[in-house]
Amino acid sequence: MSAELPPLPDKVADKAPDSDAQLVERSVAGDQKAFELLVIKYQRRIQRLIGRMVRDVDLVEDIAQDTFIRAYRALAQFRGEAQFYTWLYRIAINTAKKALMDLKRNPTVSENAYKSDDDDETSPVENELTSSETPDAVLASKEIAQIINAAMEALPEELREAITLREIEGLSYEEISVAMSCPVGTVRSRIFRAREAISAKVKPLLENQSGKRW
Amino acid sequence: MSQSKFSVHPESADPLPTNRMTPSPSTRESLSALVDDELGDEELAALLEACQQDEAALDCWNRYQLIGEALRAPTAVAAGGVLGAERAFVNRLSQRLAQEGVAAPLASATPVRQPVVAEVLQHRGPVANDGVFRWKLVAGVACLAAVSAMAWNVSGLLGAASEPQLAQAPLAASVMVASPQGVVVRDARFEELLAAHRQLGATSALQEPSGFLRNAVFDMPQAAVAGR
Repeated sequence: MSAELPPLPDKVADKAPDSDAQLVERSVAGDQKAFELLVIKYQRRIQRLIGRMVRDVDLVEDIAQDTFIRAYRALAQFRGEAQFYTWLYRIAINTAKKALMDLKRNPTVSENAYKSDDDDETSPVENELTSSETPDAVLASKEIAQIINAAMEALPEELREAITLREIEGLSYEEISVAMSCPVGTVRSRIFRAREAISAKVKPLLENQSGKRW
Repeated sequence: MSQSKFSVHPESADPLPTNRMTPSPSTRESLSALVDDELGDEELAALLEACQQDEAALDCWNRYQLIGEALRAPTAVAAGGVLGAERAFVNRLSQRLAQEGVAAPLASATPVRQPVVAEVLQHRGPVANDGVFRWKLVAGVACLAAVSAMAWNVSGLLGAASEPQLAQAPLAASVMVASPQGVVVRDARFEELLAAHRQLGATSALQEPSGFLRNAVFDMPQAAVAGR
């Protein structure tokens, strides 16, 4: 087991900003990387969402691209009154509907896709597996889940606890530091090391899957 | 056309370039904190600067995000999309933004672009309702003229309404007049009222004015009687 990193100074941890809002602000100011980080963060969710409405894989990607382009153009209008993903979700739905109307295609739409107005991650639109998922996609999801679970099991107890409290329970660093009776800087360090360990296991799989479509 | 902020990476055609450096530990730790909404503004600025120098930081960010998604919803992480080609998606997007000359959001906030699936519509000729500046100018001038006309009318009405509506003629004093029927009050305003209403007031069955009070008190003058 590696030695624990020294705790970071308190000034690092005494802020809890909304990273999406920060990245939007930077994007509006012209920082390309900030927008790319937002795209990478949300493109899988957006493609899953669109994939519920459209079964043509090429069209899904086109619509996802259009969604992000429209979002980029309208980024200055995002006032932060809603979550960034909520705003993006609306753009994606509208873009998909318009694309389907423009193409005069028969939208192969899951009933859930139009019923649900949920914007959160637990929305059935995104997370329910339906017939639109290919067996390869289901297999890949299972494979990744297995690798990540195995990596989690192999983590030292304090790292596993820290990342579980953060990723699954949704606690802030401050709350985790109280729960684990350690400084906030230590929490940050433990979560980072946990991610590094899991990431090392996932990386080869992602490189093998590169460019593969489901 | 305003200059796009997006540049196209040399390796953009390659879905996952292989010769990338690994981001520094401090960059990776900052990315981890950013995933958790725990990165301050100064650190974010430094991180974005580091990302400019090191493209592999985006892959690291992608893996951290994927881990979180897989822990929260393990069955859906690969559903409906491309897994492992997120960078290729971003590169294609950057390429399109650069090719289409999409300006920075601040400069292009107003018009929302047509989706690419309808791109063919963009190659048509000009039409009357295009967002051409001269039409906006004409519309603006027309609006201004309409508002000015309404304001002029309203101000005129208000001015008229503020004037007194009653006659300003001096009040005539009532006069007591002796008549054969006794003392009669002769008021000029009352006389005017009677004169005005003689035409409108009570009419006989012959459709002639009744003459109201004056008819009732009519007497032939003495001089006329003597002259007969």
